[in-house]
Amino acid sequence: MLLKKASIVSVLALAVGVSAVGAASAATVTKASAVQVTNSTYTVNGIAVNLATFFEKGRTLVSLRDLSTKLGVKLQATKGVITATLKGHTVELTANSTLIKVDGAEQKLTVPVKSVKGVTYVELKTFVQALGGQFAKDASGTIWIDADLLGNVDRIQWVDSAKFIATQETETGRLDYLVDAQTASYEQLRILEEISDFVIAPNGAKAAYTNNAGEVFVIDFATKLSTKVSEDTSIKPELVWSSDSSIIYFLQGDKGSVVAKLDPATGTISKVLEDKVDYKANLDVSADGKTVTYTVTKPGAVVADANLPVESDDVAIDMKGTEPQIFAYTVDPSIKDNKPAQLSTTADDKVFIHAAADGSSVGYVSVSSEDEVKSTLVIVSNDKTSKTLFTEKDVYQAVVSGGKWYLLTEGNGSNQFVYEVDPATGAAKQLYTLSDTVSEIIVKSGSPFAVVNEGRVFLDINGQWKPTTK
Amino acid sequence: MKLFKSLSVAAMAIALVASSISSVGAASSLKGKIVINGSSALLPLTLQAANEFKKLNPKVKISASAAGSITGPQSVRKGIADIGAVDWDASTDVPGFKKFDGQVANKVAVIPFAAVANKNVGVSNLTTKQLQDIFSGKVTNWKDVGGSDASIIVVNRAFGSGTRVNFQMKALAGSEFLSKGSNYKEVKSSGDMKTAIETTPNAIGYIDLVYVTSNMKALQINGVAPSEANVINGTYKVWGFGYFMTKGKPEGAVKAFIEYIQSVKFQNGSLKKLKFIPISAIK
Repeated sequence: MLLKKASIVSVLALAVGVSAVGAASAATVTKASAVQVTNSTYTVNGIAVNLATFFEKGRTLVSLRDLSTKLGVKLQATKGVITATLKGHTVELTANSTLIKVDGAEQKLTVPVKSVKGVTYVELKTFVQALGGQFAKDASGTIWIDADLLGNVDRIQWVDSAKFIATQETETGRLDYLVDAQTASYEQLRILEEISDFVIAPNGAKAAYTNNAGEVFVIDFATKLSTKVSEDTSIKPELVWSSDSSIIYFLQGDKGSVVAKLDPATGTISKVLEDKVDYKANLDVSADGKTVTYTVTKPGAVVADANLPVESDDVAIDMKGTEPQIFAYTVDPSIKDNKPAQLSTTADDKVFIHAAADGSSVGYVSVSSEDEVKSTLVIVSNDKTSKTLFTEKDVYQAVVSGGKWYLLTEGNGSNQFVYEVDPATGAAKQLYTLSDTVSEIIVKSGSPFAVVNEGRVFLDINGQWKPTTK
Repeated sequence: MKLFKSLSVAAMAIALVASSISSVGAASSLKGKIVINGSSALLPLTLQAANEFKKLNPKVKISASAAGSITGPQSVRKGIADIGAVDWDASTDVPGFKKFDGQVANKVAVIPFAAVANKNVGVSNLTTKQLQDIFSGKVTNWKDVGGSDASIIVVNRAFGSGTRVNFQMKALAGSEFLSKGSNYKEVKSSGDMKTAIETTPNAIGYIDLVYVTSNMKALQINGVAPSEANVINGTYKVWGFGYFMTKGKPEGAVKAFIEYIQSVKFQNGSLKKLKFIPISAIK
């Protein structure tokens, strides 16, 4: 009865449909009954499930009904042809045939579509990939099957423990998606403006961004709606949320000279620090809003006599003292002649700069100008004392979350290690061994540990690396 | 959550996953030192890019300075800089400057320029001919170009300025500037130009579009307003590319840095944020 309507949806219809194919299939059933159907565990759309499978001619065949239900494939059976559809892809299958049609084009299977005890089986990997899905097996043997992974992701930022923002950079601008970490399902954020920044608030409820004019917007992740919170068009090289997610601090001007803050509720902008010092960067604000930390990069000094002929090349450059230095400023109007304090004076290059939540210290990866010297993690306190916390391995990347530092470092030979370092005690604990092709780690306490490997994002889900983008 | 446990299998797990993109390697491999000198207009862009690039390539040290466009290719020729930032293509002859042989011009940004006047000036549009006459000293009174009866104060950038080269080539079609007189003033930087135009009644000058403020008047040229949109749609002609000059084709860390600044991520991101126009926007 269901067959006559050729109705979409029903997986049940399919089972009925295939068994109704007739005499030809009956023979197959008998023959195929010899196969050993087993229940095997797969991770489909992020969830571990059992699928009925058997193995033949080097291929795993899966119950079409089982897989389709879990993967979200719609099945329709008409005149002996089963049509499977998923996110715009169509696969047509015929019982006992090795020919399938993938989006209209014929493709050959190694093992024909089979019916075993009234259940239709199809080559698992071929079927998933024909529908545009992802099939990946990791070293632990876990097979990850996903209906649709977001592709060409350039970077991610965690929103909360369950969601992240994935960004694609395209010729015409960036596209931002809200991605569910478990299912990998995604939704594009409808941002009408061309935007240059996307800074997620610590509470995970919203993000701030600027458009080309420099105006500031806040997008609410619950409603997915953006609100313009400031029409000020000054250049804003960096935006930083206050720890309670209520205020947006920013650097102002093309040279990042001014530290200012914006109350998104009222649109009021006020200056926090204006000391006429250019090229501030790496802005951080303590949880109580009392301490502002940042780096200053001094351009080199050039001596050139414009009166001499151009051909004389009368130019001299002195790059001494151009390494970034760390500053802290106490926001307190009652302090007389209040000036920022320079915390560091060292000639090392300073990268991955993050302040402690209470603003009492700033940590960074210290890169020596000597090639063979390892990069280390250094913490400089507001009293200008500094300590080197991690010297074991050359540090490639560092992030801070939940008061801990996470370091991507050299490993032994062709791998890399991840360490967690407690800045209070200096204790370092190795968390992971990763391939040397991993280019980035993304850490937010409470969220799965994420890595970017060869352009794809993987999440540590219960000790296994789940491919989350393609 | 117990996610942060040490996993010995993890390395293999990652290593064996089928690769799709192979261009992205480990962050660490590139080493080197890059010295950049030249255009002041490009310095904020260079330092912003350096800040971001170092997070991908922490072993590459980048130092930058600025003292006017011409010192960029000069420093490269002299061998004291790897990159010369300049507001014109210094591998070709331009008004006032001969080409720098053997240097390669790598485009990094589009920089629009505007003719600007003091707010008291009643004129809002000038033709190329009128601009040529004013900047050469042929026309000296605003009344001759549709304004009120007042002497025109011409503010010019000093020789060696990339903004000056571009304005001369694109707005004045190559015609010469006057160089002295009681109504002529020369300034050394964009900041000085801004101050001079804002504070000198009847003044006219020119400046990077990004530095135009509400305390001055940006003039239409041949009836077209200076705006990013008009540069992109091809109607506004007074703009130039910003270039990174290198001795021969760039290599190693220098090449990687130039590629970063030319990448869609940087061009559509920080470059726009600093109010430059991406090179890809110009068809």
